[in-house]
Amino acid sequence: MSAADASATAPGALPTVEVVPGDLLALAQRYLSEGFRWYICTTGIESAEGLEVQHFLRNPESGGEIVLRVKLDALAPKLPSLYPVFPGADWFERETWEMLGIEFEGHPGLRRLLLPAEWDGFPLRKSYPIATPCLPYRPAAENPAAAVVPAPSPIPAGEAT
Amino acid sequence: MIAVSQIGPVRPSPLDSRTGERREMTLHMGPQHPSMHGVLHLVVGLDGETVKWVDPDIGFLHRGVEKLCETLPWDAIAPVLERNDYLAPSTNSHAFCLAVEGLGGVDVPRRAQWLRCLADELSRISSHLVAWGTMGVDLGGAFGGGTSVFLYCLRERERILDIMQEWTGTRFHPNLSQIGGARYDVPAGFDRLLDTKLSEIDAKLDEMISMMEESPIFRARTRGVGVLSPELALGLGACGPVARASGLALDLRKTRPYEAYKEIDVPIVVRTEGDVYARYRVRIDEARVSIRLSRQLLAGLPDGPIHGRPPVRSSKHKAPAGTSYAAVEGARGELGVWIRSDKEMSPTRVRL
Amino acid sequence: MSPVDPIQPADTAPAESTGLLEVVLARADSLLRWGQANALWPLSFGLKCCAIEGMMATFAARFDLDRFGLIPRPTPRQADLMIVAGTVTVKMAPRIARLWEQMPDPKWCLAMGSCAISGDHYRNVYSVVPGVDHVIPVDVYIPGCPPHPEALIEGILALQRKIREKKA
Repeated sequence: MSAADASATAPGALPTVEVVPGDLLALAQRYLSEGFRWYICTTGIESAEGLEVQHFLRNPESGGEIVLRVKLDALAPKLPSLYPVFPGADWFERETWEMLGIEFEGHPGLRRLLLPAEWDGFPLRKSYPIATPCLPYRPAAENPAAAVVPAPSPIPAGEAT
Repeated sequence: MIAVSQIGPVRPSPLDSRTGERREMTLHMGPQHPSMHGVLHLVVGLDGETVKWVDPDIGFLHRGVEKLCETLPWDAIAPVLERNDYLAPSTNSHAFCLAVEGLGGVDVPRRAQWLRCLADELSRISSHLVAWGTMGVDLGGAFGGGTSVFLYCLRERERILDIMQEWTGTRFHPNLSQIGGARYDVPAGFDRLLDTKLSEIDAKLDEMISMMEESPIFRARTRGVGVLSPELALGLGACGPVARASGLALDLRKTRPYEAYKEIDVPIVVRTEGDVYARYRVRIDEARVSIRLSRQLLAGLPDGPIHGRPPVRSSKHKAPAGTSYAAVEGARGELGVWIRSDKEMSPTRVRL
Repeated sequence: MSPVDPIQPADTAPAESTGLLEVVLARADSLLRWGQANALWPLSFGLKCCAIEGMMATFAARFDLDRFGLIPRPTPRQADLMIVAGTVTVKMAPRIARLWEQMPDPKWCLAMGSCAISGDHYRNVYSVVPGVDHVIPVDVYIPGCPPHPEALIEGILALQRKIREKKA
């Protein structure tokens, strides 16, 4: 397998394809047959626009990269699991479910990966406070206002760098 | 759960003499166990010495770094991320800084780029030395033969830590990469120090290889064991030494070169067997390559400043909005950082 | 050994008796504490970077903790020192508590590194226990991120002093 790639992708610019949840598996199969056999990662993101999932695939021969971006319904975030096509998606989807509450239909078993099995809540959601106590070992902070660093203040739209 | 049948041939176990059935034992390994691998809990189904299935239970060191990064200003994140892959610390912050610089608005001087790559190579050697040392402990036990290899490897690793201490003032977690450059420049006389220490390591590598490979126990336990086929490796997302041991010539320093690697030729070490021996041998050969690369990087270090923006104490970086992905070839493979910024003092999402 | 003098009856002054029995017991006690201090066997239990730097590098050839009498034991039943090196998470905390209970008395704990002392910069994270002293009692704290191996050696010497002077 050759590894040369003449046009390395510039950092920051990844070719992205917007996908609706229903088309995800068919599109993934198509990319798999086109040579994008190397599964890289799955990310869940919550931003001001809502919840979305991004799957990163790569072509080991040509070095090409593709990102499958699936925007989700905020109230019921569900999409098909990529596990039947790429077995490596197993743990990434478990982690995404655990952290953001996004459900993957067809996943062999969505259960907690990084946190204890009986954990409540989805930590990476913006509504989840970072300093949540977890008794008995993690007591509530005596001074909840004291943070590690002062909370960053957003830059107003008019100010530039 | 990954069935072991996908990984290699399973030797049938002897039948139980009374009932005539094959029996399987479920064993919990960890999270505290003498393999010194940090904390990993494995629920293993054993049939004699053959592992039939394994269900890893991870998360004993989940520190919520991705959530923590959303609350920190940009400059404060690189030192936090260094503690992620703590065997090769410089690579983490390097990847993060590359990702933030990819958002735009920051120029990195060439000297800083080469210094960061040099730190990566030294971290890689240090990480591989720990890998062999702990592998020796696993194969040989806590006392006796295993520990000898461990002591040799860690003694060589001390030389790398001496180099880092001369350069940055601390053996470990140097906090070298910052957004826009490197924090520490190499001191005078550094090339002599690097040359001496790396030569000492190079001279000992053959001795350590013979220590491990001349043992028939080592050979029996590593050759032909745990074979990973290239197809399965790609489907699972393997990268780094694991992928290269399965015949996949995938190394970011070659396939998508960044910073200094655009000007230096990096030979990729590839093996085709895909077994434990191949994975171990790839790491040894890679350490040899890294020793050579470190010398090359230091010899070709360009002149100039090492900061592309004012040093971090006096300014707070404000990253423009957008998404960015950058990856470096860490000791364990591709270390990628994906960032989403919405023009605030902190990122909206950092994904490692 | 000469026979012990009979203990004085209760109506005489009870304080500060200097009978031979007490002298022998005091000597035996300090001999016992000398033995405990110089043969601390740690449980090989490292969590994070401090484990690499502290446990691995300090036990290895250059800094060599073995010369202080420390032999790492893989099982808590044979260990009397637990060096907690690294961040304690809520998932790990019950296991640490159980390992501590499995260690027989007398036992000591050493918190190595700022993560074990207070959680360091992770202390406000949902899954991190801010300091191992929320889980088990700690005798010596060694600051640093990570502490230099010589700092760990200093901490162990401090613990040895503490044991010998019967403060532990």
